[in-house]
Amino acid sequence: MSYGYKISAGVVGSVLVAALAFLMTYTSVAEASEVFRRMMWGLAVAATVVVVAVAVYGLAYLGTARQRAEAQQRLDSGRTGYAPDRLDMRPVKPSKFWYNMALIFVGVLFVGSAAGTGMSLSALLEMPARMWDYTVQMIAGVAQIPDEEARGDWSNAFDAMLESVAIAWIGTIVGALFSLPCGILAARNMTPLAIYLPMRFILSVIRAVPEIVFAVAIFIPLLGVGPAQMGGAMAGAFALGISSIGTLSKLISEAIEGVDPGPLEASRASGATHTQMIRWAVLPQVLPEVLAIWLYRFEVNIRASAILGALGAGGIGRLISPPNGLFGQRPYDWEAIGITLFVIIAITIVVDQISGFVRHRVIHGKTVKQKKRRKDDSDPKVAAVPV
Amino acid sequence: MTAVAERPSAASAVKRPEPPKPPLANYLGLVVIAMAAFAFFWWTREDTSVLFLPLGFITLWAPQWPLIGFLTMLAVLALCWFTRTSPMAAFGALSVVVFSYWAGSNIYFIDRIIDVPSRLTGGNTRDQLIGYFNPDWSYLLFSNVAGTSRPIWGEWLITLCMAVVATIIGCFIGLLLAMLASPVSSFNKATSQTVKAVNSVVRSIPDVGWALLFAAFIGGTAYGLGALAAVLALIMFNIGIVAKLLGESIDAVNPGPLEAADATGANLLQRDRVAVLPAVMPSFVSYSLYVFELNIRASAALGVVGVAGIGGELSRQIGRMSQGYENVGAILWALVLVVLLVDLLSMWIRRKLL
Repeated sequence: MSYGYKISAGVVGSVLVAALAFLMTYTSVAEASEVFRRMMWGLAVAATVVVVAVAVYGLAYLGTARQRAEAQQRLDSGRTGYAPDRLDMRPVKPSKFWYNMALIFVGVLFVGSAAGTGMSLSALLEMPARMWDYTVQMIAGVAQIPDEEARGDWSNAFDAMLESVAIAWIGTIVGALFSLPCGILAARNMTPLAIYLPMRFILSVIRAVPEIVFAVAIFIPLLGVGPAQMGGAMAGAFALGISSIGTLSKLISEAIEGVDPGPLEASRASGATHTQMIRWAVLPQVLPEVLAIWLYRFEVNIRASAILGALGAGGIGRLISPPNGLFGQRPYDWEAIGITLFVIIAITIVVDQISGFVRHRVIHGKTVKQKKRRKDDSDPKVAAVPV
Repeated sequence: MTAVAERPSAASAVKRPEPPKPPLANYLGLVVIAMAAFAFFWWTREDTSVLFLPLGFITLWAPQWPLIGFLTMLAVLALCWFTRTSPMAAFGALSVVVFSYWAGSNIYFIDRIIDVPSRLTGGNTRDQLIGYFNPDWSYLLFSNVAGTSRPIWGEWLITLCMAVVATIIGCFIGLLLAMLASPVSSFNKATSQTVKAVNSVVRSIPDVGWALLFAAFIGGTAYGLGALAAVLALIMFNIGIVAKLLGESIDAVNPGPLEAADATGANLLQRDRVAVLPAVMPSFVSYSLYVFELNIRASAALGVVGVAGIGGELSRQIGRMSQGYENVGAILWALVLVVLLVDLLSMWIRRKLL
């Protein structure tokens, strides 16, 4: 029951970290990179704080030496006086040592990286005033009775957002078409190991590649960049589609692996081929879940299409991002920005609601109506009233 | 045995029971819907503004060949009829076709696909692809950002630092909001509904939008300001995700410990502390790691809007056009590598912790 060695190890370790970080600020690496030097400084400061804190804790621990010795003596001396044995003791608290160490590590990491980013926090002081000012302008833009210019803004925003929805939809369709076969091939209970392993590997590679890589490196050269006529939208759609194959197939294969084995055995026993088994035993079980996964990916893709638009693939990102978009103009046209943001929020939420409704309906069926009917059955008086 | 005796004879067993045909009236209704969609596509087949709302013109882009779309719709309906699909499922299939047709024509699907071979032979597509697949590693390791003495690999460090800071702050705010958003752990129904509504607004603005907004609010994207804007944007992005996902896991928390806490007379805060928080802690850690991965990916793209980190360098190199292909390739390959490493790291941490 002695924590002494842990505390001293903590002190020594953090002194070492602090010293190392301090020394690192004098290396040639730190001279080359401002970021690295600042990170090391942050690390050194944070580690010093930890040293002080742990040292204070250690001093307090040393201060209890007499009491601990007495307690130990009481335990050792047996019958004399009240000596609680193990049955009298409260259950021993599990050690929180590693938990605390992890917290300290996260704190040190936070301080180090906050120093490393080189954020100038003084700008935060002026931010609220500007934010208020701009927000009022944006709300005024949305709430005004639209004149000629505002009508143009609404129309542009709707166009771009509908284009984003179209991009996300085509991306989802592309991903869905590929992901069902890939998902079946990546499910352990459907495929032999020789296909399963390479399929898994390919899928995890696809998942590791961010969609901007697909967009910039492959589909923008192949399909074009810029507005929809120039092919930017198609590039975005295909980048989203290909990169969603990875996640979709993984989720679908997990759904297939969790399938009830009864129908599989039944179909095998009645002499079904592999394809027939998949058609009649697997698909009916997983199809609702697969549909829900696809729809969920559609929601994700709408948000992702914005970031691709900023890179030159079409959609709402192209409308807002510099150099040609709304945020590229000086002074900022806050009314147009407010209108655009409003359209983004409105359409995203509407699509989310619709897709959430369909997902719920597909997974759970007509639960709401059934509940009503049951209520009617239990209360014939209510049922008699035409609703 | 009676069951054997009652079994029908072989002659009648050959005749299989037929699945019931779906009601014809519903299918006729679906045909009417298909005709309405066809009329709409025919009406908008040229690139004109067709829908006048008081807000302004809303251009609904024209499908080029409405008749093909109509025939496709009818074919889908016929297929559904002969496979005895229920009218609701047939309606789903029909709407998928209609929506895909609209979306595909909206983004010039066929035109661009047809165009691919000619792009491959002419233009700079080949140069681009060759450049991207022959990355210039010496640029990534030894060059400085143009016009400064900052090395490129230092930009990677900034990106990682931004992701770490944003993840830690965003996840903790997200945890608080998730607590408020779930009716299980929130003060009352009104609070949870309000927080949910605010959260869905926060979530619906894409991360690029947040970055641009904060860049404007801060008043520029100079060196230190750009990093601040990116961190704030990522924080908002993370709050949205964590509050949504974690709120759902709080909803699904095991009611036993909650009742136990209530029975022992715990107030709301105590109940959240001892019954809710420990139950969702594993998923919180797992979501935080997931969000960290997302942040690395997102911060690469956020640079495009002029904030700090590797993304800024990426967009500068993309802007250099033909001089920058090898450099862009190097950054993209390194991005894949970094994301893979972060994936492995977070998988390792997850396995250690959970």
